[in-house]
Amino acid sequence: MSYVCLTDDDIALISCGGTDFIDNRGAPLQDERMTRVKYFGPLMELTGTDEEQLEIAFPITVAKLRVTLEHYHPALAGESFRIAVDAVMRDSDTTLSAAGEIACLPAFAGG
Amino acid sequence: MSRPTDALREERYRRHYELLSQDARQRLLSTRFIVAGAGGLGCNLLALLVRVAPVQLEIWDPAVLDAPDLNRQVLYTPQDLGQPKARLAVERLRAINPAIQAVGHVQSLNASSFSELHPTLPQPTSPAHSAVLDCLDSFNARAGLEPIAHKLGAPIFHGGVELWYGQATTLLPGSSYADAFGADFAGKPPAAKPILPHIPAVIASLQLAEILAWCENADSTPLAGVLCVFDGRRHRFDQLRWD
Repeated sequence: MSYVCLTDDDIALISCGGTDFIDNRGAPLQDERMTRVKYFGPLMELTGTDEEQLEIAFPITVAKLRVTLEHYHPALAGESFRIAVDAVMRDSDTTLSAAGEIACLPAFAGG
Repeated sequence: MSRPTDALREERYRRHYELLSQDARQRLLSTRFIVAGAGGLGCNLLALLVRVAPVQLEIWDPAVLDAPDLNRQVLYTPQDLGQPKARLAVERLRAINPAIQAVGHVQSLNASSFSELHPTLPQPTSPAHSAVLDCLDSFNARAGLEPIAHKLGAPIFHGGVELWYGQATTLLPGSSYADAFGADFAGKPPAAKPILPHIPAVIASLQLAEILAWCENADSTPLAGVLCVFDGRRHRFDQLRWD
């Protein structure tokens, strides 16, 4: 999925593969349809990015959000990780009513 | 068992003595630190902790030293291969600070093994406080720490490392691993084997910082209810609340 803005001298490119919306001054451009998703640890390798903008429909439960993320990145299927929204961990049955920054965190077991 | 804080007036503690309150000094000396795991996290954490004070340690680890351990387990040398790490750690820590009170147990720490050693708690001679230092290498093993901490009313200072990454958090009495890592935490997969030496060094330093914060205020530490995640490839820290 990608978007192109058609004004001559403004906005450049945009995609959902890890690139922010950028205006001609280099500042991030907000799109209400898009939600920022961050990946931690080995999930960065599995998704190929540490952060990206995805289109996610709210409200949504954390469990359904996980399915949505797996739709974008099939390599996440079967991986063990928790989801945080706006830097707060959420249980899988929590319903998220509005977009926030999403973080996907695996736990590191070793000592 | 309370010990006079005069023990921290020795010259060797002079660089940090004034940075600790009287209450923190007292708690450092009167706490029994129950250490689960003498591997990468345990070695780094203990090598620092015994430099802060002549602490009381119980070190639990069933394993013997294996050659791949030498990349990060900083208390050991190639001459130690095949020897139990719990005993080696006690020997090396006593060399760093002869005033510590340390005992090593060459077995896993769980409710059963702990009860065998301490059939009645609290005992009249027990330390005033206990703290559990989680330096284990699997979440399944960590499940065995909770009943001990619960029985003692002790906090758990958690560290976990893997690949280029690590995390630290503190479980004050009343909170659990399930709160921090989800209800299925004990079933999380074991750690991937690769690990670099700077990862446990960073996470162990955070664990020590939390221990010192707890000594200052047992009701609140910066990482109580907060997971601090370290990315050792991008040198980035993030914090996320779990309480």
